[in-house]
Amino acid sequence: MIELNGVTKTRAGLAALDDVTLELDGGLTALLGRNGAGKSTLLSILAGLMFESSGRFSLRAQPLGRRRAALRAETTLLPQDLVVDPRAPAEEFVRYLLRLRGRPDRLVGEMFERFGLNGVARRPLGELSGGTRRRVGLAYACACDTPILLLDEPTQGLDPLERLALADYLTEIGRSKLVVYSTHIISDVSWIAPRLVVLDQGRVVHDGSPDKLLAATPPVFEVSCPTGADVERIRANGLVTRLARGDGDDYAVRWIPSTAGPHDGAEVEPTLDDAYLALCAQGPR
Amino acid sequence: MIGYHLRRAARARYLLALLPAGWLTWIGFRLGGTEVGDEFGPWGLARYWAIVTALLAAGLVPLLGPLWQEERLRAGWRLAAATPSAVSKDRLRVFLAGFLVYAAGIVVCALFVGGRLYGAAAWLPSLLVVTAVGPLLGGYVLLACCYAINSRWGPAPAIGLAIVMGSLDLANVLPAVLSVSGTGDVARLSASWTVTFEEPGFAELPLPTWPFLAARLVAVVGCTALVLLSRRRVLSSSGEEGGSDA
Repeated sequence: MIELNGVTKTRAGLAALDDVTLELDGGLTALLGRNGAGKSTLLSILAGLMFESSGRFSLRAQPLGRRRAALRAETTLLPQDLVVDPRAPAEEFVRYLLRLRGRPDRLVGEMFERFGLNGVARRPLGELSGGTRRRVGLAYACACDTPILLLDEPTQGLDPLERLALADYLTEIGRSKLVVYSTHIISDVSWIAPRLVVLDQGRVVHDGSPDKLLAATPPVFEVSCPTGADVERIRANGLVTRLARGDGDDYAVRWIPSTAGPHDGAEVEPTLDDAYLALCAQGPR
Repeated sequence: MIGYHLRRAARARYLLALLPAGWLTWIGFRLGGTEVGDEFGPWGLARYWAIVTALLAAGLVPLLGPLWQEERLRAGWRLAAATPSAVSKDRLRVFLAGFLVYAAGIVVCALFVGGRLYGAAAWLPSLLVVTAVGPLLGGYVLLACCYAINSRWGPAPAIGLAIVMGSLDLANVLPAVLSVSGTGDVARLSASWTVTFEEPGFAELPLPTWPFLAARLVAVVGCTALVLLSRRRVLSSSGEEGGSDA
């Protein structure tokens, strides 16, 4: 559906995206990366709201050049920072946006129902909590019913039940649409996204299934440290991926050594969090 | 879609601005006049009305300011991935909604004044020029200029200047040569802006002349063209299909 080949985006002399090559065909793809990794820039380019500095970009095998109307017509982006008119009632605002972009508004009622917004449909957006405004944004993005849905940090401000409902819905529509879900919270996507794309400093450092990412993860160890000094010694020899305080002064530490063994603790199965942290710690290859 | 912008433009603050205007109108035009009303001739009343209009405009025009501050509108356009064509149409709707809200206030007050003075048919057209047509034309020209300026340069200080000039014009204190509201010239000819409140005879009151009306027509047509050209500029400068290089 979408093909990026060697796409680079430079801003103020710095590469926000660096030689990104991706093929996005359909289904749910999770876009992971630390803050400033280039996720939002990539989504803006995918949405046709920003031009790449160099590289090739095609939609349905048609090179796009500088014309992005066809891409915009097929794409809906829910941005990370949702700026809204605080006086506009929620449902009226969504209908206005849909008419503005020439999309039918037949799904608005269904989406307000699905995201639990019926009770606030007539309330001004400025009176709603951040999480509820986020759900209004999601209702809009889903009501657009475009073949490509780009969600930038969609779970920001949502409670666990709302996250679950969103995950359910995305799994459902991922069967027929391309959904790109940007986040830096692995647990949001670990069990719903069959494909993970990890960006670091503007470069793709992983593109594949969660299993592939786990398989490439170095050995992970878990150890109990009686004192803080022991934790610091572990830190000096590797990457700490989890640190939990025990009942007393001790700490339970998961870590990935940076040198060859032998190592403190017992080797354990890596999690996606371990894998992701290890990848980001390595930096672009 | 203009309904969405009309509801955004009609604010509670606007209604509050209307209250003193309505109150002054009532004092000036109620049956039997007021402490100044007994000696007030039609043009004196018109002058009084011009003060009310200025009050209305002074309260109203700044309230339309948010319509020209496009940040939130821009965010909506971006969220909707609106094409430049859709954006320019929406901006036009914002302009029309702003003018309609303004015009509604003028028309309601003018109807009240017209209703009170309907028997004096000989000078009614002149009075309507002062009370309704002038402020409507002036408001249109003012808002159209604001729209065009904002389309080209953004919310520049020129908009503030235009608002001040427009308000002064609506209050009939601008020289006739600068007046676009259509009131200054008629008012000057009627000699009603002197410090004395002498009542001229109805037969002596001037009616709007064709050159006078033609000049106002040209102003409206010119401003409409300006608005439409601003739309074209939006279309041509951003490119029909374009994204952003930022």
